[in-house]
Order: sequence, then C-alpha cells, then structure tokens
Amino acid sequence: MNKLLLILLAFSPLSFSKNVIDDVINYFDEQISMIQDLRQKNALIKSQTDLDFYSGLQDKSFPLNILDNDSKITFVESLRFNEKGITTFDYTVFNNLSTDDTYKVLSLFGVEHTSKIIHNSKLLREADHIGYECIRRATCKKSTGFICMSAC
Amino acid sequence: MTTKTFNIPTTSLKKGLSSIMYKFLLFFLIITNVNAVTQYENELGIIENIENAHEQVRALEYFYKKTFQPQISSQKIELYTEKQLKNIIKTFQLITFYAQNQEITQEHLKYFEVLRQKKWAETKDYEDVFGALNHSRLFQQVELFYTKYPQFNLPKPPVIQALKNKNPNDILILALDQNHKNTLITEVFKFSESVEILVVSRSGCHFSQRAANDIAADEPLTRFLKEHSKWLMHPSSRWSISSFADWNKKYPHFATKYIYRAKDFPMIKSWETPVFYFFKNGVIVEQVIGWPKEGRMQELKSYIKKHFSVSL
Repeated sequence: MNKLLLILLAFSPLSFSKNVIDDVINYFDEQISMIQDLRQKNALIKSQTDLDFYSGLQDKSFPLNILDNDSKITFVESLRFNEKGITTFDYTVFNNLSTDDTYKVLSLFGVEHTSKIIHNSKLLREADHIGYECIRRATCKKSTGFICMSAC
Repeated sequence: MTTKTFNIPTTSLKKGLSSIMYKFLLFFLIITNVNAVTQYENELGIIENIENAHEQVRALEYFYKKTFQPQISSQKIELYTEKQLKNIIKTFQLITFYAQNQEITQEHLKYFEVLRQKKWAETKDYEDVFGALNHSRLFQQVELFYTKYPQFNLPKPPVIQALKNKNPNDILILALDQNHKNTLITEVFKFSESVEILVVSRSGCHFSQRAANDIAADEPLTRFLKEHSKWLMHPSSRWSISSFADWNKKYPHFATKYIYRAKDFPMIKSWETPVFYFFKNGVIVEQVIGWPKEGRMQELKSYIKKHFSVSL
C-alpha cells in the first residue's frame, strides 16, 4: 500500500477498520523483515569462516569476549549459518549478561534485535521462534535454549 | 515443523485498535527510514574499538579480503556514482589509516584515481592517499604522488637510503641522517639479550615531550637511559620529518627512530605514547605507561633498580 496513503489512513476514521489495520501491520512486518535481512547481510560475522576468524581474537574489547570462556565456547559451537547469515544459536548463554552486553554480542551477527526478547520473559513466551533450532534449510526443530532465525 | 520466521510479536499491536497511542506508534514506525543502509559503519565501528592494535589490523585485513573487496569489485569502478565512490574511499581511508598493507593501499590509490579523474576528489582525499602510501612504505609511489600534485602542499617526502643485503626476517627502523637533510637511513633493529628499555614516543606528543623534559633535568637518569634505552616512533600516515628532526636536536640523548613495520613488534599491543617498555630477550617484563603532570620518575627508577640493580 502506498506509504502516504497508509499515514493518512492511520489518522482517519477508516483506520478503525480491521482490514486497513491488518494491511498496515502486514506492511510494517514486511519492512521489519527487510531491515533484519539487511542487518544480517551487513553483519561482521556472516559465516562459519568469519566466526572461525573472529572467535580467535583475544582482545577484551571485542564483543565476543564479553562472554566468559565457557559461555563463549558454548555459544560459538551452537552457531549455525547459511548463505543469508546466522540461522540458529543457543540463547541461554546470555542469561547472566545485561541486555546491553547481549546487544553488543548479537550485533556482531546482525541480530541484536533479539537481545530485548531474550531478556524479557513475557516477550520470550510470545516469540514464536524461541525454543527452536534450525536443523536444516527452512526447518526448525524444537530445542530448548535455542532460537531459530528467519534466515533458516 | 515448518519454517519459523522471526517476527516481533504482533498480537499485542492488534490490541487497542482504537487507541490513539497505537496510531501514533504505527505512524512513527512507518515513516522512519526503513530502507536506509549505512554500509560497513557497523562492522568498522566494532573493529575500530578493538584495543589490541595487531588484532585490529588483522580484523581490518580480514574484513577487506572477505567482505569489502569482493563487494566493491563486483562492479566496474567507472560505474560507481559519486556518493558510492566516496563511501568506498571513506572505507579505504579507515583501513589504510590503521593497516600497513601495500596491496590494500594500491587498491585505495586505484579507486582514488577514478575519483580524481571524475573531478570528485577533495584535498583531504589527496592527503589521505599520500598518508596511506607513506604508511605502507611505498616510497617510490610517495615520490611520484608528491611530484604529480604539487598544488596540495603535501609534506616533502624524505629520501630513504635503503638497506643493502637485507634479510627478509630483519626488523627495520628508519633513522635520521645527521649529515643530509630530509634523509632517513634504513637500519636493522635487534633486541638485546640482556634487559633494555624501549621507549615508544612521538615527537608531536605533548606527554612524550614532558617525559623527555623531566628526564633531561635528571642527569644520572639521562646518562643511564642514553646507554640502556632505544626511543622509537610508531609508523604513522602523518609523519613529519621536520618534527622528528626537531625532537632529535632538542633531545640528542633520546634520539628517536621510526619503526618501519608495526607487525615486527607483536608484543607491543597498543601504540599509546609515551610508554617505557622493559624488555628482556624480546619479552616485555615491565612497563611504565603515560607521563602525567606529576611524572612517573619514581616508577621508572624503581624498575631500573629492579632490573638493572642500579639506584638513581
């Protein structure tokens, strides 16, 4: 739907119509999905090769080293990629990190938006991709502690 | 289980359809620039924050090889718009500022030439390329660049006396030729087997000057450091031979030399100045970092006493 028309409709009595609201929400969802794809495409770590390189950096200021040794190993081993970027990871390693630190780590992969969900129990219950692991292309399998990303 | 796509939960958005707040939220979310992509800023920002200088350079070189270079070479340079080309040059400038890499610098020059031919280049672009050529030790090209663009008042490049019979594993440094103006002599640097002090300083660094002044006012310490220290400067894209010469004239006991290649000193993780590194057989055993107003004389002397058994 035309962007301008959507804006006008948002403020018109017609906006109370369920169909218009649904269209607006669907448009919104599409735009968010596009942003997420672009973020992952432009992320620093997009592949296993990238991960192999960057996980070798020891510098404390590199975000991956915010995790303690054991958590870092668990997290790195849980990561899976395809040609679009990250597809799945173990999110329980972030339980002892702040939302800010989680954000920093996940920004390496272009999925920093999941940091708020991970640290919000209400959103965690509602999100439909938590508790699933990407096991092959376009297939998520139930797996506690994992997130299945849209790139799966 | 079929594909699960990630969506921000929408059920909560559907609630309160008639709410004014909901309409405002949609309004602002829709009109924000959802199509904007600022390429590379995120990745480069993360890499720039890496404190270990060597890891930072490795990460930049990896980023160049795996991400940047494949993307920019997917299209003919001549077809890039002004905005695209300037963004590419900006990324090159950041990489070559930190990394002494001749291959990357040559590519930087290539893209700069197209920018220049299309008359889109600004003075800063010329200065940055000149700096990159200096930094990566492409001295012949520095000379050519300087001669080709006299209108930009670039600093006159020094004459570099190359080393004869160079060994590929030699650690090189550049020393000021006392007999010929604006000339640097290439020398081989060797770590001592006994304890020595490496002072990383910079002629333009106020704190380095303060350290040199404080030490110069202490005769026994000056005599000691003249014998047991080497003063070095980190390679920089902005080197000033005149400033270098001034320093050596003012502080002849602490005459400094340029490091040719930062990678030859992997044990020095950060090029802050001034830092007094106590080395034994190429390994750092002690460091005195920085020189605040009150100085670090006591710390310096206590380490000298510890490692040289000398009380000053």
